[in-house]
Amino acid sequence: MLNIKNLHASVEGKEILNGLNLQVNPGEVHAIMGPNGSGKSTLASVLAGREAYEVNEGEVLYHGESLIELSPEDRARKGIFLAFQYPIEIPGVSNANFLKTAVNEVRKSKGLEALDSKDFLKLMKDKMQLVKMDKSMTQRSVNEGFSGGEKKRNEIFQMAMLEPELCVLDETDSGLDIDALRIVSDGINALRDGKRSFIVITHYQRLLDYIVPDFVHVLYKGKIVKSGPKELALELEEKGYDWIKEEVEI
Amino acid sequence: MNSSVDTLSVTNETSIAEENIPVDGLQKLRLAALNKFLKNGFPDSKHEEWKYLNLKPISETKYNHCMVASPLKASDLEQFYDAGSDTVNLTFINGRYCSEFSGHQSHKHPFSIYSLESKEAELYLETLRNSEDEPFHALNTAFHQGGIMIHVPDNCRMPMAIHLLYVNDSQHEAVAAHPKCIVVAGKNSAFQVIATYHSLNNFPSLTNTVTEFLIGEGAVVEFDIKQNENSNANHINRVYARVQRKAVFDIFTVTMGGALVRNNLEIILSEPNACAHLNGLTVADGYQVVDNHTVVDHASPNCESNQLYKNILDDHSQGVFNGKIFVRKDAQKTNAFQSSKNVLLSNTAVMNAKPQLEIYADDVKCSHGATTGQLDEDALFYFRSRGIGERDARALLNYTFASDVIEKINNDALKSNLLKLLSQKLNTAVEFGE
Ligand SMILES: Nc1ncnc2c1ncn2[C@@H]1O[C@H](COP(=O)(O)OP(=O)(O)OP(=O)(O)O)[C@@H](O)[C@H]1O
Ligand SMILES: [Mg+2]
Repeated sequence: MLNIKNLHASVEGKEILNGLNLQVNPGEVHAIMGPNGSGKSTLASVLAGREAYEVNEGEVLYHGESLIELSPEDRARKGIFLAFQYPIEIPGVSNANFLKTAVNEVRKSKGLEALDSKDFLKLMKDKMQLVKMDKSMTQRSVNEGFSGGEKKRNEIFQMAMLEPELCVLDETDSGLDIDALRIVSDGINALRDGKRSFIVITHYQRLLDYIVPDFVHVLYKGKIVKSGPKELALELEEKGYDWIKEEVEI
Repeated sequence: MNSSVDTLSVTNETSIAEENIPVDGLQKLRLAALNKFLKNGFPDSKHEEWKYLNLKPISETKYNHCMVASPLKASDLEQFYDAGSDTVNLTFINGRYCSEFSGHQSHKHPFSIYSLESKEAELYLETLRNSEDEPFHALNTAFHQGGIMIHVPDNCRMPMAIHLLYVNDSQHEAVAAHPKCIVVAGKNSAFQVIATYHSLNNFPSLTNTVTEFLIGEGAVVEFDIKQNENSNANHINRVYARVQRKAVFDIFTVTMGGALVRNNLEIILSEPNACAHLNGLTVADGYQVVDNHTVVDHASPNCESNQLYKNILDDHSQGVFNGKIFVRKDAQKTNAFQSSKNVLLSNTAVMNAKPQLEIYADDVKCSHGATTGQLDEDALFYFRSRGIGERDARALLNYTFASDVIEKINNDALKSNLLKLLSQKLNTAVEFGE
């Protein structure tokens, strides 16, 4: 589904990713871990099409087609979703209106009719249940004044609404309390249908107890330097990154 | 061609002359004002208060300043009823109040209307006299004709709004209209006045309008101004208000159309515990120039003022916000806030924002701030990452930025009229909102 080959990307003239390779097949869950500043969010931004991030070399193929020239909205319409590490506050636009516009834009791109208010409300009700989100949140402005955890929950709610194919979750677990982490993880797991794929960026093994990955990768200095099964996360939790850094430096 | 057009002038301007001012009981005031105007003529950019506004389009146009008759019929006016049907429409054509096109559908309203020549108006004409040094105000005083005074009695709480509907009919020649309206709000009265300006013009038009308020003790008055004339129309608007003890005056100035628009708002908080809120929204494009000048004069203790002005400027348009706050020596416990927020949609659009605070009291809370920038790129990316196209995302974000001001207006019909206009002006293609 997603095939990243020798990706080099820079922001403000500074190369952050240098030679990253990753292949994600339908239905797979890939965890990406790695020290602060190693380029995890950069990878997420490049996948979502943020313009400040420039691809200098390499390929990003999605269903065999290059993503690099596509606008962020076209990527979203093709089923790529990024749950932000730091969701943006948008005063004056209610969550419900925002999502209605987004859902209908995505539907339009697929040649589907726009949902009317009734169907939209029903969809919203279903998906709210999935992440146990309070109804009042949908009437509030997008993320405005939301707590850190509420913002993260809202990202997953949006993801559930948009039903993407490839979900990139950037530190969705940070800021969630213990109960919320379980609820949100259950919500994410409910969206695992064998076809939908996930790239889960996290610092903590705990999340991976809930969302069990097929692969764990370590991103360090702009490259994936180690990949392994889910047990790799346990090892990292126990030993930290030093041993990997050493391996790389040699 | 005269090569010294630059140096302006009044001298070419046949119509601004003593023999053209109306002959009536206000002759003395008119003459004095005319002489004040003639002494200096139209201000140029060296004049501090006018430095961002090139007035040549006005000074070089030969408008007919004498009140011009218009053949408009009632049916021509229906398109302008922006404030819904439950209002008292008071229609002014080329500056003259037309009672035949005015009133409420029930034929009843609880306030009185007087001619400015009447005995009742005399007192207020005198007491509200203010800054005729200001050139356009002087011109208005010299040339206004058929203006009115509205008197809302004490304790009158009026659910229906008063709609001042101004039409400039320049279909047959270039017309300068000088409407004048005085609004006297009795003690503890509560009501809303809506002013909308329209032009029907094949020729250039100038609207040079003056509205003066005396807001009595405990009264609550909202004044909404909609300026959406076309690119052939220039517009100078003066609002003066004296706000008395415990009274509240809220004003909204929404400017979308017009070639050159200047708003001069002067609010005096003349007695303790008076309060004023000034809200402004400008959405401009092409070569529009919209200049908002405000003066809030805290002349008394315990008063509060709050100003929020927003501009969205595209193409080569220019915006100006110049907000002056005076806090007089006795005006202790003053709260005075001011904020100017601006978005530039093109790199040829220009915004000039300038706060001016003059504070002579010591126990005062004052703040001001101005921000001018592009659209929030993070917000834009967030929209786009959810599948909303760039054009729509931009339009929606601008719409949200601007609609925030309109949403606070207390009249549903006017509100939806303005929101619709906003969405047209910003090309908000997707349906948004309820
Ligand atoms: N817009 C930017 N301008 C300059 N430098 C940037 C920008 N965005 C990212 N960087 C730099 O790129 C490097 C990688 O940042 P990135 O956010 O991808 O790290 P990360 O792996 O997500 O870290 P964390 O675990 O702390 O979230 C950092 O050194 C960061 O400072
Ligand atoms: Mg990060």
